[in-house]
This record gives sequence, C-alpha cells and structure tokens, in this order.
Amino acid sequence: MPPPPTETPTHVLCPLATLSPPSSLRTWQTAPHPSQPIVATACSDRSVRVYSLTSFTLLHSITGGHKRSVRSVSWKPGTRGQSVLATGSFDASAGIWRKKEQTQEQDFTRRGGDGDEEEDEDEDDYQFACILDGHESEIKSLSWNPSGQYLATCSRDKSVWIWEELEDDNFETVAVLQEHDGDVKCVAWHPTEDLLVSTSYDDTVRLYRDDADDWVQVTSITGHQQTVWWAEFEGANMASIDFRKEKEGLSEQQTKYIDLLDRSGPRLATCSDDCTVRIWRRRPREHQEGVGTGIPSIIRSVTIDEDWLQEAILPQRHDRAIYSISWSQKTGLLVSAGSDGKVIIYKERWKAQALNDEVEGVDGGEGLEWALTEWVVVAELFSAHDVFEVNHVTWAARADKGKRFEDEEVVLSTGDDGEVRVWALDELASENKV
Amino acid sequence: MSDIQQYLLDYDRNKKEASATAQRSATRLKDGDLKLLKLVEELGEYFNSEDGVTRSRTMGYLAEVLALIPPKVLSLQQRNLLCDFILARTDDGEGIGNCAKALTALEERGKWDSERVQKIMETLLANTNPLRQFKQQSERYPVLRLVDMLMAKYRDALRTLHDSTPDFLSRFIAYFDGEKDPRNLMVVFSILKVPMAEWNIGADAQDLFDAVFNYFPITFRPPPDDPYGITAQDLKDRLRECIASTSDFAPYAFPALLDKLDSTSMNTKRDVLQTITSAVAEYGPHTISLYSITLWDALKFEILNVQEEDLAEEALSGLAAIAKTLSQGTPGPLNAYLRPIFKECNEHLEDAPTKQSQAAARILHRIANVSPDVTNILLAGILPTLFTLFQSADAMAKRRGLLEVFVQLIKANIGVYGDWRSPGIAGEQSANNALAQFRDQALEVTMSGLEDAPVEQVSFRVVCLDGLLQLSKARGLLTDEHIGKIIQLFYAVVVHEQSYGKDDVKNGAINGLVEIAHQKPQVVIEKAFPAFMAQLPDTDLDGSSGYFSVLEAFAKLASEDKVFDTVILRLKNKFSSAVNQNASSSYIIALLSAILYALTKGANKLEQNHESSNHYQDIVLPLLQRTSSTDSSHPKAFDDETTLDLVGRICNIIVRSHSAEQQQAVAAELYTLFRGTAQDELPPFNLNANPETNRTMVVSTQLLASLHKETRLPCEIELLVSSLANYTQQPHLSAPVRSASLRQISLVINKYYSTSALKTCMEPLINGPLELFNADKLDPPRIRVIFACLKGISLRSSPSLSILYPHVLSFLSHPKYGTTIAHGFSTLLQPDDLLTKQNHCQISGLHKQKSFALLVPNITRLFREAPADMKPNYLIALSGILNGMPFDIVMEEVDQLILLLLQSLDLKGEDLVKEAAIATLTSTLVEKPAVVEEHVGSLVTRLLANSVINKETRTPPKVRAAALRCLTLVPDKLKLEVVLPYRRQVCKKLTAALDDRKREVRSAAVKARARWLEVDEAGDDE
Amino acid sequence: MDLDKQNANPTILNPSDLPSRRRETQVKRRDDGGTGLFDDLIPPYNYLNDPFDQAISSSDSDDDAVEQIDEQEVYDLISSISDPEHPLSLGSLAVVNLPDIHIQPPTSPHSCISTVVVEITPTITHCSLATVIGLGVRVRLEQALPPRFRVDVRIKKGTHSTDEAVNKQLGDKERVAAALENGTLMGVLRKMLSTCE
Repeated sequence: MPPPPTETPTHVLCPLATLSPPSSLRTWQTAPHPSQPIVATACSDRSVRVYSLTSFTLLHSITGGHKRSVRSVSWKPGTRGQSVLATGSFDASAGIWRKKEQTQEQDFTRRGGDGDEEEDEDEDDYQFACILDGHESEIKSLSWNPSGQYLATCSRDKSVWIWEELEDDNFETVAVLQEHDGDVKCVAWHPTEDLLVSTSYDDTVRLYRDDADDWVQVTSITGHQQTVWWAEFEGANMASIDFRKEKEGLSEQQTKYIDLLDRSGPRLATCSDDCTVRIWRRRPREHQEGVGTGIPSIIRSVTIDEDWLQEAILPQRHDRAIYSISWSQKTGLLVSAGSDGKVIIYKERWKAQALNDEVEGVDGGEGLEWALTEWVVVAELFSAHDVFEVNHVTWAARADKGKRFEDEEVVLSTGDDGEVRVWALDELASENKV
Repeated sequence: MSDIQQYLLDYDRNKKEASATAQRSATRLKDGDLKLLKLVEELGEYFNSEDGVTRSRTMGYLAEVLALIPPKVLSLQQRNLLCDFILARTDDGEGIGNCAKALTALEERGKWDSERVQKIMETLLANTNPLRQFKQQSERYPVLRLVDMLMAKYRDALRTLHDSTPDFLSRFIAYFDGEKDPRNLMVVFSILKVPMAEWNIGADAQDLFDAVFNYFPITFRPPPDDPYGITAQDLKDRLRECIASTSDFAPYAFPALLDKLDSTSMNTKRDVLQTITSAVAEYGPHTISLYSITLWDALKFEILNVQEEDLAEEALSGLAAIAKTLSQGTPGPLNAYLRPIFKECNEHLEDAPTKQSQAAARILHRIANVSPDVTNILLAGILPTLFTLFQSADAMAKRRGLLEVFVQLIKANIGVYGDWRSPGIAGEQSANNALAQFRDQALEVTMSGLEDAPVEQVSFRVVCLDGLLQLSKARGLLTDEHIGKIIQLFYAVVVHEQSYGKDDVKNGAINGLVEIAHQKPQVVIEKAFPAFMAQLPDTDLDGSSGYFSVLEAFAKLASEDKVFDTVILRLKNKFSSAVNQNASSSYIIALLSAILYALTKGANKLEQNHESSNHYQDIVLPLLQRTSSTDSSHPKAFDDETTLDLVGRICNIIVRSHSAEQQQAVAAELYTLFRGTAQDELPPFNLNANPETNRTMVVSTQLLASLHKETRLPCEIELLVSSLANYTQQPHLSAPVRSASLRQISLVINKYYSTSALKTCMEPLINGPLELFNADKLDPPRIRVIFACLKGISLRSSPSLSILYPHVLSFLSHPKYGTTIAHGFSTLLQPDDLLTKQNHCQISGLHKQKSFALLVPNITRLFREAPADMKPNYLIALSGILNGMPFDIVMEEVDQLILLLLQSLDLKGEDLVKEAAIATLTSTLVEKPAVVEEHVGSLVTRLLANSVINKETRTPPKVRAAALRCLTLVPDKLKLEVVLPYRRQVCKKLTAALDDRKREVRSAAVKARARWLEVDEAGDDE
Repeated sequence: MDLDKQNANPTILNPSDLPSRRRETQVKRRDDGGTGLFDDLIPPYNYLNDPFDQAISSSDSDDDAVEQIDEQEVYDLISSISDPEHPLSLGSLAVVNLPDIHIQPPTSPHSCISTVVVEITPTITHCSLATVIGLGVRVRLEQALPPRFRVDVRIKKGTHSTDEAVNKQLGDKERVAAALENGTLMGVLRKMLSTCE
C-alpha cells in the first residue's frame, strides 16, 4: 500500500435515500435508464426491481423470467417510445424485456407510493420479449453497445458472446469469443467505437473489435494480480468537460499531454480482487511525433492490434476485493466500491511535481512517464451498506426534488443487504479543494 | 320356491337375505325337515346352468349352508358323498373359491382320513393347476386357505403322498407359481414352509427355493387403507423364514443373496444381511463351514467402509452368527473361519488409528463374545501382534488405536467369562480363559500408559484407564494385589493430578473406582479409603485446600451399596473431628455436602435396612444438638441458614425412612431440638426470639417434612398453624427463615388435617385477626400465608379449593397487590423439594388437573373482562400455573390459552412469565401444532422480538435462547406452506441474534437460522 | 454419497483430544478445585428462595458481560461438519484445526468489518473434494456468523497439490453464490452440514 495522499477528503457522500422497499435478498447491480429517471436492479431473488429516482420507490418487479439469480441488467440505448431491458442470469440465459414508455413521469411517483409490485398484466408492465440461450453456465454480465446494435454477454463458460438484433426480438450471434481461460466477469463497450472490453477470473483484460465481419481480440492487458471484476471506459471527449478544459497557464508538456490523451481516445478503468483500480490508455496509432517510442506503433498500425498502457494505479483505499467502478461522464470523477463496504471517490488533477520526477515505480513504466496527472481521493465512505459488501456502484443523473443544479449526479450503491442506496456528493467547505 | 331359487334371487338384491335363506336351509336340514338328498337335487339344475355365475353362486350357497350346519348333523357317509360331489365340481372353471369354502366347511364338520386328504390334494392339482389361472384374488384365497389347512392338520398324509409320488412336489410347487397378491402370498409362504422344513426335498430343492426367492427382495407397499393390515415386514419375515428353513437351500441361497448384496438399494442390502443372518443361524455348523469364508469376504466390506450405520450392524450380527453356529461344531471349521478374520484385523492394526482399525475393533468385539472358543482363538490370534505393534509404535495416536481394539476384546471376553459378580455365558470356567496368558503384559502396558503418559494425551490415557478397569472386572483374572494397584493408580489420578481439559481422565478414574467398588468392595475399602482419608485434613486451618476434589470423589463411592455405610461412617468421623478442631465454615459445609450427597446416593439403601437407626444416633442427634447448642460446642458455620438447611436435609433423609414410632422422639423435639428449653419460649410460639433461635426453624422445617402424618406434633395443629401464620408476619425475619416457616404451614396442613377438617382449615386465618381475605388488609406477608395454605390444600385437591381459588383470583385485580398475588400462583404447582411422597405428604394423583380445571378457565374468562392495566396480572398468574403443569393437562385447554400466551410475550420485565409462556408454546408446537398454525405470524414476530436484545425491555439471555429454540421448532412442526412466507424475514432478523453478546444465545440462533434456511430449499430448484 | 472415495481410510482423532471450550471456563468456574458435584444437591426451586421476591428481581445481571466470538467458537461451528465421503466430522479428521483459525479485527477505527481466516487441511493432498469441503466451511460460517464478518477459507499451504486454484475459487463470491443455487451441490452441502449442532 502506498502512503495515503496528504490531502484530506474535500467531499463527502451524504445519504439521500434507500430505494424502497428493498429486496430481502442480495442485490447485484443497478443500471440507470439512459434517458428516464429510473433504474433497474438485478436481484438474487430471480427478479429485477425497477425503482424511480424521483420518488425512490419501487415501480415494477419483473419476475418469472429466470430460474436463478439475475446477475446483470442493461438498458438498450436510444429506443423510441419503449424501454428495452436485457437481463443476464445464473440460469445461463439472457432475457429481453419491453415496456411501452410512460408519457408523463408523475405516474411513476404516484404509483410508486404504494410500494409493492404491479400485478396488472397490461401495457405499462414489462413484457417478456425473448430469451437468448447459448451460454453453458452462469451469465455474469451483459451490456448494449452505445448504438444499441449489439448486445455483449459473458459467462463462467469463459466465453464472450456478441448478439446483433436484426429486427425486434430477432437476435443473431455474431461472435463467440473464447480468449479467456477463466470466468468472464464483465463486458463493456467503448463510447464511440465498436470496441468491446472483457475482464476475467484469469486476471486479464481483453479488447475486441470487428475486423471485416469477424470479431477478434485486439489486445490482452495484463497487470492485475487477481480476478478483474469490472471495467468501464471513460466518457467521450471528457477533455472538454473535466479538469483538462481549463487551458489557462498550462505548461507545453501539459498541453502535449492533453493532445496525446485526445489521440488515445477514452481511457479504460479496471478494478480487481488485488484491491487496485488501474487506468489504461491506448497508444495512439499514426503520427509518432510526440510519441517517444513511436516507431513500433507505425509498424503495428497496419494490423488491427492495439497497444494499451497502464497509465495509473489509483490510491489504494480498499483492503478487500473491489467489485465495481464507475466513471462519471459529467465530471470525470471515478467511484469504486467492494467487499470492504467502502465507497471511494477519486479525482484526476495535474501532478504538482516537476516532469523529470520519478513517477510511482509501477510496472509497464512505459507511457507512465507521460502521465502528468495524478489521482487523489476526494471522498471516502465507510460501511456504505452497514456491515454488508457493496457489489456495484454507478453514477446517475439526480432527479428528485432536492436536485441542486443542472447535471447534478448521485452515486447509487448496490449491496448484499438487498438495498440500493442513493448518495449525494457534497463539497466540504474547506480551502484546500483541488 | 326352493331355497336355492330364493337364494339366487336375493343374492344381488340383498346378500343378507340370501344368507338368511342359507341359514334357513341349514336349520331345516338339522331338524330333518329337509333331506340332504333333496337339497342336492334342487341344486342340480343350477349346477348345470349355462351361466357360470349361477353355478358359482350355487356352490356358494352350498358352502354357506354347510358352514352353518351344526356338527354331527351330517353322517360320515353324507360328508364323503358331499366331498366327492364338490371335488367333482372343481373341474368347472367357475366357483373354485366356493368349492374350497365348501370343502373347508365340510372338514370342520368331521376329520378326513389320509386317502381322502390325498385325493383332495391330487384333485386340486389335477383340476386347478396352476392356481393363477383364476384371476380373482378372492377365488384363489379360499383354495390357499384350504391347502394351508390340509398342510397344518394332515402333515403325515401329505408327506406320504410326497414320498410315494415322485413328481408330486414339483407339481405342488408349480401350483402356486406366479401368485402376486400379498394376502395370498402370506398363505403360500406358510404352505411351502412345511415341505421345506419337514420333507425330504432332494432334487426339488432348487425349484422350491426359487419358488420363494423369486419374491426377494419384497418391495410391496400395502395400500394405506389395507383392510388385512398386512405389512411389507410381515411378508419379509415369512419369506426370510422360508429361505432359512432348510440347509438344502444353502447352495442356492448364499450365492443368490451375496449377488444381491451388491445392490445399490439400502433396503435390499438390509434384507439380504438379515436373511443371511437367520439362514446362518438355521443351516447348522456343517453347511455353514462350507460358506463361512465366502461370507466373511463379502460381509466385511459393509463394516470396513460403512455406508449406512445400521447395515454395518447387520453385517456384524451376520459375522457373529457364523461364529456362533460354527462353535457348535468341530474346532476345525471354526479356526478356518476365524484365521482370515484376525489376519485381516491384524493388518488394519498396522496403521491404527484409522477408520478401518476402528472397524476391526468392532468386528473383533462382536465376534469374540460369541463363545469361549471364539474369544480364546481371537485373543491368541490378535494380542501377540497387537502388543508387538504397541511396543514398536512411535506415535501415541497409534498406541491409542491399538489399545482401543484391545479394550473391545476384553469387553467381549468379559461377556463370555463374566465379571466378579456373575459368570458369563460360558458359566464357571474362567480357568481356561485365554486372557490369563496375556494378563501381565496387558497390565504392564495399560498401567505404565496411564502413569507415564503426559496429561495432554487425554484419549490415550482414557483408553488405558478403560483397559485397566476392564481387566480388574474380568472374572478370576487379577489378584486383589493387582486390583489394589489399579485402585491406587486411579486414586492418584483423581486426587493428585491437576485438572486438564474436560477432565475426561479424572472423571473416568472416579467412575472406574465406583465400578471396581461394585466388583471388589473390600479391596476398595482397604486400598483406597485410607488414602482418601489421609488426603482429608482434620482441619483446614493450616490453610490446606484442594480437599474438595477428594471429597467429591469419595462421596461418589457411596453410590455403590457395598461401600455405602463405610463411606458415611468415615465422612461422619471426619466431620466431627473437623468441628472439634473448629475448622473453617467452608470446610465444614463441604463435609456436610459430601455427607448429604453420599446419603442421597444411598437413599434407597436407607429405605430397606433399618440399621440406619444408628445413623440417627451417630449423625442426626449430634447434628441437632450442635444446631440448638449455644455454648462453645456450637460451630460458627451453623450460624448460617444454608448450612442449617444442609443439616436439616441430612436429618431429613435419615429420619424419613424411620417408622412413625421411631420418629416420635424427633417429633416431640421438633422445635425444642433437645435444647431442654420450654417450647413456648421458642419460635414459632415466641414472637421475639433471638436471630440464632429463629434460624433453627430451618432445621425444624426439614424435620417436620420427614415425619409420617401418624406422628404426634408437640402441640395441636390449629394452634400451630395460627402461631406459624403470625410468626411469619414479623418483618425482621430473614427471607430463608420466613420461607421455611411458611413451608411449615403447608406441611402441617397437608399432612395433619383430616380430610373433613381440611375443608375449614383456613377459617381461623380468614375470620381471625389476620383477616386473610380482607382486600383492604391485603399485603405481601398475608399473601404469602394464603399461598402457603393453598399449597398444602391443593396437593390434596380438597373440594374447598373451589371456594378458595375464586377468592384469590378476584384479588388479581387488586389495585395495589394484584401483581404480587399473580406471582403467588407460580408457588402452587411448581415442583417442590419438601412436599413430596418421600416426605410422607398427601399428594392426590389428580391435584394438578384439579387446580388447572379450577383456575385456568376462570383466568381466561376474567382476563377478557379485566381492565387493560390489570391484564398483565392474569398473564403472570397463568404462566405461574402452566409452569409446573404437565403438558398433557394443558393440551385440552391450550387452544383457549394460545392468545394469552402470545400476549405474555409482550410483557415488559416479566422474564419468568415469558420463559413459561415460551415453554408452553414450545410444547404446544410439539404436541398440538395445529393450534399454533393460525397464529404463526404473531408467534414468529414475537419470538423474533424476544430473541434479540433491545434497549427498553432488557430480555435476559435465558429468554432470548428459549425464544430461539422455540423458533427452531416452528419449521419442524408446521406445514411448509405455512412457514414459507416467513422464511426470508426470519433469516434476515436472525442475523442480529447471531451477534448476540452471549455464546449460549448465539448458538441457539445459529441452529434456528440453519433450520429456517433449509425451509423451501427442498422444492427450490427448478 | 455418490462421490467416489478419495481416501478410503483416513486417520481419525479421538473426540477427547479435540479442542474444547470447557477447559478455561472450568478453571474459571471453581476456585475450590471441585467439579461442582455438590452444586445441585439443593434443587434450583429450593423452598428457601422466595418466589415473591425472585419474580421481581429476575433479569440476570451477568448479561452485560460480553462473550466475544473467538477462534474456539468458529472451530465449534465448523468442526462438526461431516466429511462428504466419510460419516466423520472435519474436526475428528483434522481437516479443520483450531490453530489454523484466525480472527482479524477491523482494519480501521471507522470500519466494523472483522475477517475470519480458516485454513483447512484436506485428508490427502490430491483430494478433489477439497473445494466441496472448503465450500461447506465457507457456507456454514456465512450462515452462522454475523454479517460483519468476512469469511476467507483457504487450503493450508503445501497440504494440497492445487491449493492456489482452490483458494481462488473459494474466494470468489460470485462463484460461491452461483454454487449455492445449484441443487445437486446444495444437496451434498446440506448433508455435510446436517451434522452441525
């Protein structure tokens, strides 16, 4: 463990609400709807619970689809007039559910009031659309790509499947990727490219893309010492949103670095049983100018292979497995949580020290010399779910009456206690904030 | 019209009518109004009817008539005629059942001669073979019964038939082929058992065997409402008897059975093993000698790799049975059988202690206690190897493993040759016990083992100890010197060794001493007692301590009759000298406790022999004098109620075994206690006695308790009761003295009032100055008296209770003392150590029912009417009553009580009440779950509430644990669908209890949670 | 038990050699060195104690004394689990041993998460049932310990050919969760845990 940064946390996570009623059994993951103020939570009671973020109450309980725990949920982006939800279960199948979109939002809150699940079998219920069979064992994670064209699923059977939805409820398997030699724990898509990442029990992270109608692995990232539980890409063009947008008084190096990041595109964050969170950056392809060891990249550029460098290891605050991380697309803040019940929030900022300084002696040193930024912990929350483990955290747009400013976000944590808790990030009234 | 017409007419409409007709015909035959010939003629046309049913019914009619004709009506000739006639009909495919009935009826009316029997048998075989051609079970059954009857009554006739007709048996066997009906099978088996057991079956042996073995294993399950109540077990037993019936089956039986032993079904294996065992027992040594080794090779696996414990047991009995059978024959085969066994066992000893070395021990133990020969052979076969291995063994664990086997062998050996008290199955022949040759080696090993092994080697030393114990028990094996050594060894462990672990060794040693005392009392007295006494100081003023464990061990010995008196004597002497050298109170109390313990252990002995009268002289009198003495001879220890209680109990246990006459001496001095002071200067008659004197009431109480009701009290009883009542009112009395005096009231009332006087015994107290039942004067001291009286009365279930109880119940709403009254009820029926049969109290068998009936329904009624703030009192009273109540009494009313009980769980601070309520709810769950079912919800939530600590009601650990234990029962006793809805809630809530601050509670919580987690998992998957 | 025997003939410890709690409590209980033989001479419902007082003052005071969950208690929870292939307890087979159980206190004052680490010793080095046994131990503890405990079950170093692989499996929450939804495996586990008291 590196010595904790000297900074005292500048923010604090304040409990806003617990989505109610909670599940009586373990909850695994919570997915915010891409456009509406609702979330779907995967429960080990074989159901999915849909809650409102405005009233914090249960709207729907989707049951009867799966024979085992629902492990993972993902909303299809960009759907018109309807919501489409994909569910991945320990019963080795994935389910697709549809629901006509509610016209005005208040319905939810009002109906949500009376708590329990909707029995009425009509329009405004989630209808089972179709089931995707193929995996041999538990599905651990699934994810739609940003365009909604592809759905990726992964399983203990060591494989990653990519399904393409030709028309409604007609899915075709476009790829079965069997690169991993252990359970595949998580799949996630690049925000702008058809680039898929998977993480695994075999401690590796792998990236795939479509090479002439054939999905292939483009790189295998090693570095984590243990199972890699989760991966998530940085949002698109964050440079214009996060600390980088402040161009005033930047050194030439720093400007170069911003440019480099820009050519690399969104970065990748991963977390692992080894208690670390790591940031990875793609080595840009063309124009080696600026890229010190650019030569090899030119050669490689003809091939489809990519080269990802470990850019940073975030300050280690977790002392047990880190199950989940989430990268805010509004602020660039990163949040992590895991077995130790902590929720940690990190912020990226320019390194204070001179360029030629030694940077943390971590492996894959190459590229690290370019990391002119560093990550600091801005908020640290203990026992987010009392004594229970936190299985998942994510950012979501704030939607309740208490909302304080445009684009305000909340953190949603999902725990073994069956609860989904909502946290607001408050700035501490202190000088030394970054 | 003719009777038969009538009969057939009625048959379908009304069978009763039909039978009536048959009855009529029978009577007319008897009275001669109807000639047999006529009757048979009338039947003629119907027998020739086209319709089979008619023909069958006609025969049925005949059968009924015959069955109804009184004996001696039909002449031999007529019977023969009928018999031939009926037999002739047996070739008709219809009505065979009725033929059989008719024949049976005939036989009941006169025995047959051999030729006839043989003819019947042959005709049946000729006309109705195979029997299965008749589809109706009801058709075949009468035939089978007929044959069975013939088999039973005419054995020789049929035997000769078999001997004279070569192919008879084969046809006979084939006759029953393919019978499927359980009821019929029972008969078939019993029929076939006869030829099996009694005939010379020669060539037909295999067919005969197959005829029954085809049904093995019996898998039939009788319908739940089977009218004949035939169980699968009945069939199994009969089948097994058949297979075991003759050694001729051996060549077919054993291979077939062993083949089935490989089955995967545990039930089949169980059947096979049981059948083998019974076969082995029946077939006799010669036959068994041919298969013994094969059987051993097959059976041993069931023991070496246990699948199911009971299968191993069956296999063991099998092996033992073989040894038993063989030891009835010549030595050769027996040796041949045992050699591979001890060979194999020796191999397993090599790597003791393992699963298989333990199995070896089991095998040896089971086989070795079959007969002297067997045990001798095995000892000779095993022990030499065992001891060599022992010497060469480096690991303690291994030595332990070996000795475990050794101990099993000796135990078996004792089974055969007996112990010191009684000879074993071998009778008086310990002379040729092979164990003798190994005696010294065995002693050497075990003694040094116990002596030299470090205390940490618990299990090893325990085995050594057990070994020594067994050796010292073995009849005629050790000399008294040896046993003496062992005793000293045990003694040393008990007294000198420091406590370690669970003290398995120490306890083992003490119990060992007791057992040896049972075998060799004199040796124990000579060897051990002096040592013990030496360890007990006369006084502990020199600061000597550690005498306690010695006392305990010594007192334990009293449980052995033969040394009881000596133990008492020595303890008494120790006590006197301790007192004389004024030892510390704690030492004196320890000694008193030891004496009391010893006496209780030997209580039954006190009952019979009356030399306990010297106990009176030696113990009781001196103690009483010490108690009442005020001079220097009065020990300080005696200035304390608990000591005096001990003293009292010692006197009580001795005195109560005396006759009323013997007791009179004590009765007279009940309060004076041989002080020589006038009684009325003493409590309870003197209200301002000094504390020392008041204290002696504790002893008086115990004495009073010990007296027969025929004894004369030192004053007349009304006076005594009222004096006691007033005496107990004194505020300055110490709690023990007060309770003791109150208890005297109960005792006097219970013992000395005549049944008639009893009705009014409380009058003086109610009407007198005390005014017990005056609500305005009510206060705790009075309430105590009320219940003291009720206690004595209720045990005699006097009718007066029906007047008294309502009074007391009415006080439950008393603004000031309602709660106190409520708590009083717990005293009424709770188990009591003074008012007992042993103490000659009058205890009516139904007193609990009586009080229950008089109290509980009223309480439930009053509860409903009572104002909210008073309701708790009723719950408290109720729980107090239920506390001492056997559940079968409560059972009747329990559905009325359930709501009250549940509400009791909400009471604040009333922990005993909650405990009682939970107890009753628990028994209700066990005995009458249906009652609880509808209240599951509130039961579960309340139990949960009481199972976790919460701030305002500080539920004590005992209650928390009780609640959890009750909660554990819920899923066991109630239907799945009833409990399922609560599963998640319970499992979640219980996680709090898992973190309880008390270990006891946590473990209860763990159990409860584990149980609830199991709920539904069953049907859970897919 | 349909699993084929890995070790048909394991060595067996004797019950009286297994660690037990009574040791220290006993020393605590009696300073007079006795075993409490005479304690119940006087019955609890002794006539000398007064039901009227008793009833009022009956919440026992020693409730405040907290008995912490300790290694022995954890041992007692798991030593009675029976081995999937023998009708014997993990304790008597020395698969679980008191010295191999460790309770680690919370890592920070802000946290209340303690960790129980149990190292198990399979009866033989290649016993493929090690995982099942480990799973049994983990499940038992997750059911029996309060949730503030994290349970880490490992194969003792060097006692097993593939201990690393097994450890990783046992450490993987998701796999364990899935295993518990597998009927057949749960059957085996339930049989193992049925002997727990």
